[in-house]
Amino acid sequence: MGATGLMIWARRSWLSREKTALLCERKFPELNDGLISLVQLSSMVAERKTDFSLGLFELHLEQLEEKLNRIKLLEVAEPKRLRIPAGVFAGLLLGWVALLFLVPGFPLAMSQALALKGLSRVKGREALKVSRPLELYDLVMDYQFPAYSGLPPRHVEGGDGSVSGLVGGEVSISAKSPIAAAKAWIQLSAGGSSRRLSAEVKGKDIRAKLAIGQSGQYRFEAEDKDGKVWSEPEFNKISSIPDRAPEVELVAPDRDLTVNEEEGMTVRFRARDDYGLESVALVFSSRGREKRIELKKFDPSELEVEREYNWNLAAENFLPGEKVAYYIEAIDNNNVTGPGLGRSPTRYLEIFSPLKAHEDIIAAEQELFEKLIALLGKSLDADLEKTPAGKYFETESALLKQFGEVKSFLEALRPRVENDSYSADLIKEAIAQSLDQYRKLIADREAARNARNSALTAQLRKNTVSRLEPDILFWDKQLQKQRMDFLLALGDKLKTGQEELAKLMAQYARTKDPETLKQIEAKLDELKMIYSEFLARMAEMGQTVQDEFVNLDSLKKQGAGDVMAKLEKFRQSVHDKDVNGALSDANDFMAALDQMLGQLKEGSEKMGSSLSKETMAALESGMNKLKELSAAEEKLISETSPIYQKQLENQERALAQMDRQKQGLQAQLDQLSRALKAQSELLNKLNPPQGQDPAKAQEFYNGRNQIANTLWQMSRELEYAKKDLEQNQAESLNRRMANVEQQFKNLKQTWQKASKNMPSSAPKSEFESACNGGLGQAGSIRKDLDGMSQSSKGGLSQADQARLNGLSKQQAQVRGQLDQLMKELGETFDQLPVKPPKVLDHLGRAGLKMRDAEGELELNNPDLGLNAEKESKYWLEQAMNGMEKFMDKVKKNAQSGAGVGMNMPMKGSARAGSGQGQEGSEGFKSENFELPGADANKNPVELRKRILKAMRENSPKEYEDLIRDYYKRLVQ
Amino acid sequence: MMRKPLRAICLGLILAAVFAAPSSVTLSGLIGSGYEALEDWRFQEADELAAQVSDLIGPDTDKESAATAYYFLGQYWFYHADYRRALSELDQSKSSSGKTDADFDKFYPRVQHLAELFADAQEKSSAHFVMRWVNPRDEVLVDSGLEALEQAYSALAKDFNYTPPGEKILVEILPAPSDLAQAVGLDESMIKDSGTVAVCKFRRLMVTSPRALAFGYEYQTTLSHELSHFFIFSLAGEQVPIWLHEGIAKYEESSYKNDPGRINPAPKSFLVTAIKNNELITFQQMSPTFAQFKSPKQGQLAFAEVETYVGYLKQTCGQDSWFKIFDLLKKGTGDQQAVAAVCKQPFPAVWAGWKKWVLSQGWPVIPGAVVLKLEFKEQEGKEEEEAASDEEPGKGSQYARLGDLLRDRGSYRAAVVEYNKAIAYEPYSPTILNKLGLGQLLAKDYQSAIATLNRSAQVYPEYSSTYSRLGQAYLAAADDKNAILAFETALGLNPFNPGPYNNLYGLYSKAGDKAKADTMARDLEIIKRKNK
Repeated sequence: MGATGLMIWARRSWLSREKTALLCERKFPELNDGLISLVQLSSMVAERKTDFSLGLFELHLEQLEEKLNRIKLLEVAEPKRLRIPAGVFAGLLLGWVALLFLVPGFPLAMSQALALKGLSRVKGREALKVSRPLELYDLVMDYQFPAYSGLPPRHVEGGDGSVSGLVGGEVSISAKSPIAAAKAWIQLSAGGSSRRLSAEVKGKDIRAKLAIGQSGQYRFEAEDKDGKVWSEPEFNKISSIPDRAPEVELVAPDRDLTVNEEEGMTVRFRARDDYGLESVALVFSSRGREKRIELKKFDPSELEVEREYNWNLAAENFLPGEKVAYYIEAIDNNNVTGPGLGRSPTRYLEIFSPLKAHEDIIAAEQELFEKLIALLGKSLDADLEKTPAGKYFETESALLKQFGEVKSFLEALRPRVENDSYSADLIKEAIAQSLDQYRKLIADREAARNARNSALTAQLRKNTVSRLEPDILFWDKQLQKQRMDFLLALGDKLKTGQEELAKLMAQYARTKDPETLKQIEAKLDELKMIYSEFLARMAEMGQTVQDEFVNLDSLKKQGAGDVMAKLEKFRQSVHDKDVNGALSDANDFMAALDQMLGQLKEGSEKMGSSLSKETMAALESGMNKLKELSAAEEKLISETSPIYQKQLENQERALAQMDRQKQGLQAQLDQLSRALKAQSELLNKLNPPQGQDPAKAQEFYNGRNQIANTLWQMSRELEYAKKDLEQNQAESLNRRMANVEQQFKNLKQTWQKASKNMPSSAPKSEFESACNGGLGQAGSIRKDLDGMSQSSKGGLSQADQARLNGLSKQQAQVRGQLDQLMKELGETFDQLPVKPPKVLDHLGRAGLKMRDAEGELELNNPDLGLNAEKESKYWLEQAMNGMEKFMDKVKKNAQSGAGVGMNMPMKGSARAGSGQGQEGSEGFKSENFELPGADANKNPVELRKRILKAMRENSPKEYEDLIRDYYKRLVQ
Repeated sequence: MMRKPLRAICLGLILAAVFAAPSSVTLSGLIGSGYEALEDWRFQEADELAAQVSDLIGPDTDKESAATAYYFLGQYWFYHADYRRALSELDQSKSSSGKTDADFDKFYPRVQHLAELFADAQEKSSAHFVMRWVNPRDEVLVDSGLEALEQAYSALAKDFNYTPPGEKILVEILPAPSDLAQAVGLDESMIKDSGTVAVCKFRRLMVTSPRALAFGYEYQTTLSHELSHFFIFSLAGEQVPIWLHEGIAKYEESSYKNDPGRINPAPKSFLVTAIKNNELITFQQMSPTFAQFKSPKQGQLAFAEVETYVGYLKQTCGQDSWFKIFDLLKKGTGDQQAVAAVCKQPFPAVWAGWKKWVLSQGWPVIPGAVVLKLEFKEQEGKEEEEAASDEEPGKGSQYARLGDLLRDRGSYRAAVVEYNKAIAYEPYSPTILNKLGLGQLLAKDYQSAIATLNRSAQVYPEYSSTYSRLGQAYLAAADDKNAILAFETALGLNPFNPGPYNNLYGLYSKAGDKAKADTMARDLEIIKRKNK
């Protein structure tokens, strides 16, 4: 406030230039109004209202300058006037100082408040400088740009004097001056500083060179031979154009990703620069360290680039779960002011390790395994309990709940396993089948429980136990196998490391390069890490708690067994730079490692497949039998087929014959029709005798009508018969002809009856004989029809029929063999934790088709029989495919894994209450004649974790060897 | 059993002696005789000869002869188990001639090894024996071992009507099978493959400590067995064929317990089956040593054959038939002729009679009985069941595995269910029987556990784990008396298992038998000692 007040006071008492000039005039009368005149004239010059002689103005200026140089301008000030403001100022100053020292933060606030930046003595000086105006003309500028920019020189004539160019460039300015200057310069102010750059003067030509750095301003100044200073009235602008940093764009990936550590990734980028790129790199950070991969070096520079880079993530040894930041960086070719650096936005990769994910899945499978065992235990216990009737179904509910939890767990596990490339197909199949079976068992048991059916419940519990047992054994083996796979994978890493080490050792032996020694040491550190992990994983392979005391002295060491000790010794030699020792220790270590890895491989090979040899043999035998059945079916097909072909040929011939016969029949039918027509005409001509009794006449007419009716019906029947013949409806035709035959018989009887009332001239015998003729014809037609249908009926000879019969019997035999095979395979499959899917189903269908074939062949239908045979063979082949695929899965699964029942004893010393510290090992407490306590049988998973932990911790020296030996034995 | 690696040397020496200087002839003659005396266990004579040889070696003795003499002395001291001295003599032999031969190169490292091994050995004596051991924990074998030996000595002396002359019999307890191989001069692989744990040779008994086997072994019986060999060697020399040697040793090995001719059920079963299937091993096939058998079942069958055969001879051809056969053998008669002569019927008839006799005993065939092989291999450390060793686990093993999984998780009764399923497939598997017994024990069904474990003990009385468990089962059932018996039997098979000591200490204390309790405490401390 004080400052503000002071400022207000100062402002109010501020003297204008005129008043100041007047004050000076008053003080120094010798100025003779010269100063006030100058001030006023200067204002007019600034406003360009010079309606007076500039030459006189200059003269006046010179004179006054002389005078001003002689006077002491400070004397103009009246100190008295300063009393009050001085006092106020002093007071404010004291207050301010007090604040500075007494109020924390005040100094900082003050420093920020002071607007010191704007102050510039140079600017002030320049503003007050008095000089004559220098009006240059014929300005020419020649620009030279930095080589890196690739810009050509630029020549500019005329212009307003402003300079604009790339930083680092140079401009040569030449102009003509109205005066002949003795010397000239450029007054340059840029970046808050001001300096002079000398210019070349030749007569009235002035030339100067200006380096383009920061933006600012300049003007030409000159001094003539009289020492008078001339300067351009205005400063000229300098606009320096900076070299921009490159622009970089990460085209792909266009977002953060989760990537597989084992795979690669394509990075696509685009970079451009105003003047040229020098290099582009991929920069990423991993585990706190930044790494660069140079993607492209440009020589010569390019302005723009768009490229792809295939980044091999596996080579970077990222850790699973690690988040890696990365970006593309481009550097331009500015070698003048320093290269510009451009970066793309940073993206992130989350490293996904399929192997780690697989490991998590194995942990989940281990959990499943434990759940299955717990369920089995509870189920067996439940059967042993003498549960009162009321509680029986309560127990059942509890068991079902537990079973349901297992099922849910399996359901959640299934998709993870399905998507896991490391999980064997057999495991995926096993999970699918187990899930189906568990669902069914649970559903059935729930139904039995709800129905309170204890007998069924008991049976279903037994079925559940029978299902759980092989499943547990399956998982037991699979978990071991999968852990062995990890061990083998680590073994491979060890092997690779060993090979790399061997190369380094060889290199070192040749070169004796200390750098190589460092690399060897680093490699050994890496190997040690991997080997520790290896041992830790071996500990996880521990099996059941040892149930017998074993003399540990009987567990001998192999000569070359102690890999870790040898590694340490080797490492120490390297560290101590004991070359000879290192070379010798290297051999020892690598030999021991080789031996261990060899034993590991042996151990894994001994694990065998998921199924016992016996079961595999049974499956192989089943497969062979299936092949035999398929071959037998093929043989049947090959024998039925010619018979069928023959039948087809016969049928063709029969058809041809039928056509011919049809024509004959057609003629006969036509003839019969004509005969009927003739008879109708004959009948129509008949009249009763003359003078006959009306009753008799009526009888005659009745009879005649009846006959006519019959004849009409027969004609109609014959028309239908002709249509039947046309359509090859032999059966229908036969029926109609039978009708016609019967009708003829009836007709004859009717005629005979009616003819009694006919006149004697009536052609009784003709009609009768026509009836007989028609009857005969109808019968002949029928006979011919029979002959036709016999011909059309397949054309199978007696011999062929007999053969078909024989084939039918053979088919029955094959079907019998199939039934037997299905029974055997069913028994084998029942023993399997994983069954070949749909095989039995397909075999069942094959069996049904065989039955059909059998029937059709017996009925002399080779066409239908052949179809059924072919279908049966198809289903047999489907079954064979299913078996083959299943056995392939089992064989693929047979690459590692421990056999069931590999009871590797665990070191009892890590367990509470065991023979700890004694030279033996026992899993169950037997001291102090107490039975094993509750803690003597902890969950072996926990036990293994404790051993694992113990393994990683420093173990007592006396146990180190034992622990190493134990793990060695595990490998064996 | 002895080898005769030195006969050729002796012959060579004798021949050389004929053409050598007068002093060398005497020296080489002495050496030759000395070797013979050593091989024939005429140790008093060997002592005299060695002393003479030692006296004869002087500065005038030529280098070759001196080397030979020193080598002999090295052998001599080796026979006396003074390895340091033997080594010294061998060093002199080497420096005398400046060169060595193949035999020397084989022998020297053995002696060197034994000298180092026994450098700080401890000894304890009884009336007729000196027991020597190197590992501090093996001291636990000494008292019981000497006791068994003295009892066996008395029994054998009575049965043989003979006592071996000379000084006390040395018994060396070797820490590992490799040491036994060095001591005996056999390949280590042969020792391991055959499961040989003890040898009687060089007038001493050399036994591997039961510590070296996963579950120990019946060491007292083994000591008795080897002592029997000692008696036979002493009495009858080198002439006794292997079948007779092993037959008598096997027959007499349990005489220290007043139970000579005891044979376990499993070997009986193998023997009956072999006779019925005409799969017997002939006496010729047993030669030259039982250590040659690659299959433990062959070994057990061979032992069963010879043990019952000598028992049959004793029963049929007279209580002294063995010794009559010895006499004939010493005169140079062949073994079959000797048997025929003593039994007064042709050998084939005796053989046939024996087979008939075996079948008439009504010994049951135990289907699925297994051979417990005493293995040194670095596998699971358990006694291998031969039947299962190279095959995949069968149903029995699978159910047993399920039982193990349940047991380890505290579901004892459920485990018993699975073990019972396993037993249905392998009713005579000692492993599964023990697992079942343990499961029943944990499930607090003590009587069932006792019954199960007794069943295992009946068929496999040499399986130490059974008795430990049985002791625990009896203890749990408050049957202290039987618990003591079981634990004592367990210790007789594996004295390095701390469990029975702990339990016996408690039981003896409870029964007021302080002396025995203290013994248990002391022995427990002994087995806890560290190796030097």
